[in-house]
Amino acid sequence: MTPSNPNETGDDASKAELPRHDWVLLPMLGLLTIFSLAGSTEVIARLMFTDLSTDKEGCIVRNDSSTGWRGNPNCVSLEKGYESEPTEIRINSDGFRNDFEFAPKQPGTYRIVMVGSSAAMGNSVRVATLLPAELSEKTGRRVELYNEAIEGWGGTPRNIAFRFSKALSVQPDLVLWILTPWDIRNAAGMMPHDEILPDETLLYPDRKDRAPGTQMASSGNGGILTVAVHALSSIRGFVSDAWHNSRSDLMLVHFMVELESQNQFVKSQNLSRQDAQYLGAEPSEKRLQHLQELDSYVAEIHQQASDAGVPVAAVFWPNATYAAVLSQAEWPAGIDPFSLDNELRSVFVNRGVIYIDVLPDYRNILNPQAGYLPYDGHPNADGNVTFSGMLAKELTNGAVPELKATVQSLPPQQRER
Amino acid sequence: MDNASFQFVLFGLAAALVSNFSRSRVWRSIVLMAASLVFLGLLAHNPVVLLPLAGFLLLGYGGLILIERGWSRSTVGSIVAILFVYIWLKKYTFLPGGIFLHFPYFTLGLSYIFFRVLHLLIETGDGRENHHIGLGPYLLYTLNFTTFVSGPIQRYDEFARDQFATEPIVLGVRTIGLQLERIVRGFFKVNVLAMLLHAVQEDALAQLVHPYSPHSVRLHAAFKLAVVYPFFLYANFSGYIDIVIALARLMRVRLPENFDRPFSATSFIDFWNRWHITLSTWLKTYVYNPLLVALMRRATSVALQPLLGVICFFVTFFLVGLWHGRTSEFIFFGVLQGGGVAINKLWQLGLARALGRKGYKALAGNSVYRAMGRGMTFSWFSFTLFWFWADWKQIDKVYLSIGVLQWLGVWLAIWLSATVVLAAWEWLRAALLSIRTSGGPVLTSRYARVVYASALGLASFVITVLLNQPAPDIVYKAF
Repeated sequence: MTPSNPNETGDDASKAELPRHDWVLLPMLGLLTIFSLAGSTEVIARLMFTDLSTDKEGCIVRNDSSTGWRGNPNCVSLEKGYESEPTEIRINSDGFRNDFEFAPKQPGTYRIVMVGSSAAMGNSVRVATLLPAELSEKTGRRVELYNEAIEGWGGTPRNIAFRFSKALSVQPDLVLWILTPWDIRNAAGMMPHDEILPDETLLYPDRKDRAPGTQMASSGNGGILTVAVHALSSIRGFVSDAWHNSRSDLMLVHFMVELESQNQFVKSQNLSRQDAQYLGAEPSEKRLQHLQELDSYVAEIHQQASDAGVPVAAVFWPNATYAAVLSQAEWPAGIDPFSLDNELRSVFVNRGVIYIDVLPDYRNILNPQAGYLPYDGHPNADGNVTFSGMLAKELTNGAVPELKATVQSLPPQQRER
Repeated sequence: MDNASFQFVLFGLAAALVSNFSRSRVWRSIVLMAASLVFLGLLAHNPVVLLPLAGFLLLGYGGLILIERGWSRSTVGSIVAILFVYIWLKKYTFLPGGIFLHFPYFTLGLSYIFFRVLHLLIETGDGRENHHIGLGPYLLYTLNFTTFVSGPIQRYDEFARDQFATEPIVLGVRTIGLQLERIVRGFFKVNVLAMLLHAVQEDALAQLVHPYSPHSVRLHAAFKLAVVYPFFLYANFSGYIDIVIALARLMRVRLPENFDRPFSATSFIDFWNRWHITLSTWLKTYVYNPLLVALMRRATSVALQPLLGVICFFVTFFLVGLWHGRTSEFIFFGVLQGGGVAINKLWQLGLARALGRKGYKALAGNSVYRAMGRGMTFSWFSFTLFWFWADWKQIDKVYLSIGVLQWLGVWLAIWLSATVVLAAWEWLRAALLSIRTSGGPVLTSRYARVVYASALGLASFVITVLLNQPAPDIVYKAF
């Protein structure tokens, strides 16, 4: 059989020993390589992924605990996230992100007020600007949309319920509530100190779940082993923190997610963390608790809407992991993305809110995770277009009688990413 | 632990470290046995699932003892019994389902153990292995954790020469450095390169069979799907082999090489001299050679003799294919391997007859002919691999996703691209290796090795630990 390759095995006895200077030179060379690579990667990442905000802090008021997060009236800011294009954020005099001022309703116009958090508030290409045109085209009537979504803690169910009278004050024909997994998880939150899971990165659950999967044992059998395990954990924690604070992390995750197939993406999301993803076939205790909290705000919102005679429709916008799992042919044992869907339907329908279900539409999309910013996790332009299309289709299929489609249109083109 | 994971590498390095506490062969054997049993325990969890494997090993050892004691007739019986039990435990589909064991049991590594046991029975029966093999050495040889999951298939005499040497082979600092570099390289191949290629393959497959994919996307996906899988398989398998060869060397045992730049092969016969070398060598030793001798004894016509080689090639490489699995896909895979090698041999014979030996030799040395042969070899291998990774249903779906003419176009494009790209790679490699100092090529110097091992190590650490990218399983552990 084939003998071992002496070049690989180092069996050339004449070269068995190293010159003395190599004992210093080789490790130095290794370290130099590692630091040069790490440094140059970080420099490239900082050049490629930049952020910008001319007046970001000013456009969202984050420190008023009496109101929760809210828009700063008449503020204009140019913003750019690490992965997105520069976008002008224009807050109107009512404190919401619209390029126009709210005005009395014109006869024959169907007015929708949209509430929700950052996904609904949107970036450059956003649901608020796409949906009215699609609905107008399908219904043959003028549909206008007032965007009252506020990012972050301004869009939690508690905050929406708190300022719901504002949504009703502009005489809407429908309040459209866009709900994300983050909103459900933080249903009872008003300000950051209310968060249920004390972790800023929950804004970006996908990012969080890319943390190292192999967990180090938290305790050993005592003595040296325990000390060693703690020492290793500390080193690992230090390296992990340094990594997550680097721009290289962002760049590599960004490109990795772009390159990954749908299956690879789902596998890398650590689905065992079902609490974080809400993907379990059986609800966890935390999920039930969050749904109960959501239920109380749904009741409150519905009561106000009902008193004003305005219908409310709610739609669940899945995050990247959720969408990718939905689109898979088969799910791993214990995973069922429609389980939460059914629970949400029962929460909303039992309270008299219309539930718009777009999740089945994700089954027909290839690589839906491409509709989200890879690192940040928010929907990108493609994701907004896809979601708007689905939402328009479901809103006009009879779920909201006034919006029932009158114009026969072709089925939405399935998009290839 | 049955993957090229950090845990596996750390486990192997720890075993190597402890093994080197003493140069005594007894100590090294104790450490190897303990490490192999712990490895098996970590894989199996429940000892009951190991019972069939234990029975298989005892059956092999029983046969060996009978042969050693002079019961020469028992050689054939033992081989047949081992062959049957192997097929039975692996649940080959041509056996009636009712005779199989109906509880979950452990078959990981069984194929590789099968080759080792069969090799011992044949060699002992032929009298070529005339030293008594005790149960301990037998178990050390068959259960050796470095070769357990996916080989390479090592001969017993080579194993015994290193493992039981009174004076073990030298393990200098240079050797240690080379092995660590090889482990890093293997780890990178499996956990980064193979992971990325696997992603591309899965993506291409999804695009190809998705009902809404545009036609141009499908054509591109078909090309990607066919081209990427051979590289993925190479990175996946050879990376794991790199790791285990290096770990074994750190334990002062030299394992045989399993790969020799297979995509440089200029013919399909040459390819099988470079891909999964220990498997093809085993089958050439124990199938091709005896079969050729037997056929030549019966067919005395000189004119027929070259054709006998073709038949033996077909049978041998048909078995190579068949060994990979129990289903009809693998029978067809075997037919394609055997057919490829046999047609290649016929082509060589035909050309030699038409051009004469000198003319054929000149043609075979021509760089354009070699480049086109390399492209053809790659294309054929990549074509056959569809029956390796997919089942009939998937193959049907894949081949129906575009038209017949388009597939012909795709394969033509693959052949031409492979010809150009692989030739360019060969040229580049030769050019880089020609940059030399007095100590040899700069690229293989210890300084260059430290630089790229550090770079690959950093990339592997970031991808596997910090980004938590899951590497695909080692494909060959399934066989």
